[in-house]
Amino acid sequence: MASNSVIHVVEDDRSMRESLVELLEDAGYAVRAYTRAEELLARDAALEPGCIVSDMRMPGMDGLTLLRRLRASGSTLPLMLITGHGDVSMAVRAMKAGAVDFLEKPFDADALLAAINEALRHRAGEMGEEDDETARQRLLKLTPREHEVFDYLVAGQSNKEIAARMGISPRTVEFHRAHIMEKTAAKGLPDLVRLSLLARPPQSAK
Amino acid sequence: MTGRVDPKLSNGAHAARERALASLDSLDDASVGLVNLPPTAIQIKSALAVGAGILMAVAVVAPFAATPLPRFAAFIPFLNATILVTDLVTAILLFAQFSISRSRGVLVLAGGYLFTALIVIPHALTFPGAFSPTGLLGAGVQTTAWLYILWHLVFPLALLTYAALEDSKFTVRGSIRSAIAYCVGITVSLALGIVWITTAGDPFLPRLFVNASELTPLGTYIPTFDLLICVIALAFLWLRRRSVLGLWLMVVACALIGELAITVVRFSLGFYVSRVLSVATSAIVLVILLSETTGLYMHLARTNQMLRRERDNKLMNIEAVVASISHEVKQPLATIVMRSSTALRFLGHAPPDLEKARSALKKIVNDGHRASQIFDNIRDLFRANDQTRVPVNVNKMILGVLDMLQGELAEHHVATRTELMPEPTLVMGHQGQLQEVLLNLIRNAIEAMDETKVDVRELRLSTASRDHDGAIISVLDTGPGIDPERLSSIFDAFVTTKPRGMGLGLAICRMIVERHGGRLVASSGDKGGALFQLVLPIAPDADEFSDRGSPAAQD
Repeated sequence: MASNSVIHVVEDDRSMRESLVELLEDAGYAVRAYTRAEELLARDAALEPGCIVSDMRMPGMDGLTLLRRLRASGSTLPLMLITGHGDVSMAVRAMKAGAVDFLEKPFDADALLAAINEALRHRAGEMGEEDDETARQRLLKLTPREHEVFDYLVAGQSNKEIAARMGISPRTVEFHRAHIMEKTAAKGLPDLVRLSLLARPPQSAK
Repeated sequence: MTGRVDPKLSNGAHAARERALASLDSLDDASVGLVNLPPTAIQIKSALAVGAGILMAVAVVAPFAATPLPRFAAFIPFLNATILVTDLVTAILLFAQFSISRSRGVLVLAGGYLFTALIVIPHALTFPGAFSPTGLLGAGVQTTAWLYILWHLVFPLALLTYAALEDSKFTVRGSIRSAIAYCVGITVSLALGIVWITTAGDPFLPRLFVNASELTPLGTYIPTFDLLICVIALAFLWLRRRSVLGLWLMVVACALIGELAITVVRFSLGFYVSRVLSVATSAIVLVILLSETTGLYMHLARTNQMLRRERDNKLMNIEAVVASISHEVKQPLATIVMRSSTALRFLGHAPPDLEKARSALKKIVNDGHRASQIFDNIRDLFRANDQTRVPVNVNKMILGVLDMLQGELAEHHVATRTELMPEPTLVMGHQGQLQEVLLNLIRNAIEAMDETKVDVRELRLSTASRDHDGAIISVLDTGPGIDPERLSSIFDAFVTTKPRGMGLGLAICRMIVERHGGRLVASSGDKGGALFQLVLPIAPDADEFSDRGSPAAQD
């Protein structure tokens, strides 16, 4: 499946970059590695089809800016972001700017490969079965309270922040969060963000 | 890390902390300010105005002082009740002032006010026509008059004693409680003694009144003796005039003089005006003490608030430092997770790819060491045995760091310009830590300028002195500058700012600088670019330092 797809890896940390390349090559992908976002952007027009896996936080241009530049230049290559702790709100913004997914460090090989697989299917239009209407249907199952938590979650807030804002305990937020995941059949925060983007037109999204 | 922060060293490190400390210092003064602080120009002016007002009123009334007015029997009980309350409160506040300042003068003055508060009771009770036609307590014709004369003798004597003892060296050493108890005991006995003499001894006392409303020649002149004591007290206060309290006591003395000057036959114009002045005498110090106490309370509340804000800032600093450390450590940990899960994949191949798995595991070992190294580096920065501070030559340090970064600067096409003070500037600090901060600031600048055109990349390093007690190191780049909205949060946590330095975060830089008793400020340069300024306290003379051998930063 991966034969004609090239994975572009943008990561400033040498060790991490090497390990990503090693894994992806083992999984049968053709891999191109870049130490800086600017390097990838320089070959924008010549980028092989496939998928971009970029670190969020790098010296010079960050992952979010890279994504915006690519979209501005008309590139539709799916881009997946790797974030460190505390970058979640930035990652949510990235999702809204058109990133296909984000992975929070640390993550293991299987998680990355699954995400890449998904991203490539996304490109192939195989995820078309999920339209705005079904997304809205799924969100309808949430109680008003869960809806509130959902809105904060997809705005990139942590459990603790949400608890403080709603005046409830972080454990209660955790509880709501588990229910939301169950009802929407989402695997993680990226799924939730995707869902909210589908259910609501971007301009009305928070 | 905070547990080790030496309060001496962080003194004045932060603007807010400086302010809080400054107001704490002034609080120490203010708490005994009435007694110790010299009056301000405004206080002197208002005291002069009140004093002049009193003397003018007296001068206007004096020619008509003897004019008889209607008899108002309730006047004295009403007036004395007022004096009783105000003087009692004044005495209590003065006792409180005494317990802070331990000044004997203030103690005697408090006793004087307490005495007045006590003596007005028998004065009102024995006043002919107030409670009974001849006065209570078995009063004779002379009783009330002598009470008045002695009241106006003892109080000015208390003023005089205060003036004589105002010098701060006359302080009470022992227990404050027993000093106050003695003072109260003596005052009460004195008042009781006077009451006994003036009532029981009435027939034997020199006659001041012929009858309830006619004075004897002695009665006419004896207030002048009291007046003389007041003038002496005023003169003494004038000679000393060193505190706010002393200033207002002069006004009190003026009011007393005025009162005694126009006190003539009962229920004359002079009599009424003089008694109103006696209320003024008692109220002036009370008003001043109350306003002082209120001011003090506000001051305290504000300082408290400032300290709380300061503590919150410190907590935020720690949060930011922890966040930047966890970010640093997360990188090798993420690599370890990545590599080990990949190694598992290699082992899962059929047949297992042992060579690849072994290679991955080897790298995992290295990554583990790398993670551990990060902790070592951080610990090195704050190591206990690195706490001794030595004079660091700022210019030398800057040139050393630039030398260290030569390769990096060339690689990023950054030109450097240095404007260093000609004479060597020494700051107290840990060479290694300060160097690390500077390295980090310069690396940030280099990264920031990556986004600009090659030919305009310039790093400018300069040193300057500030107020003769601080050195400023400025790091200015020609990069895009700092978003004004981010200026306030740039040190909080890297999360909210653009990922610039990947090294030691700015939060740690600031922490190091503050532990040096300095400040790290970020702003945008006049012509764009980011400007980081490092303000460090200048080292005392190197010789002096080696004599003292103390690691403390100077204030």
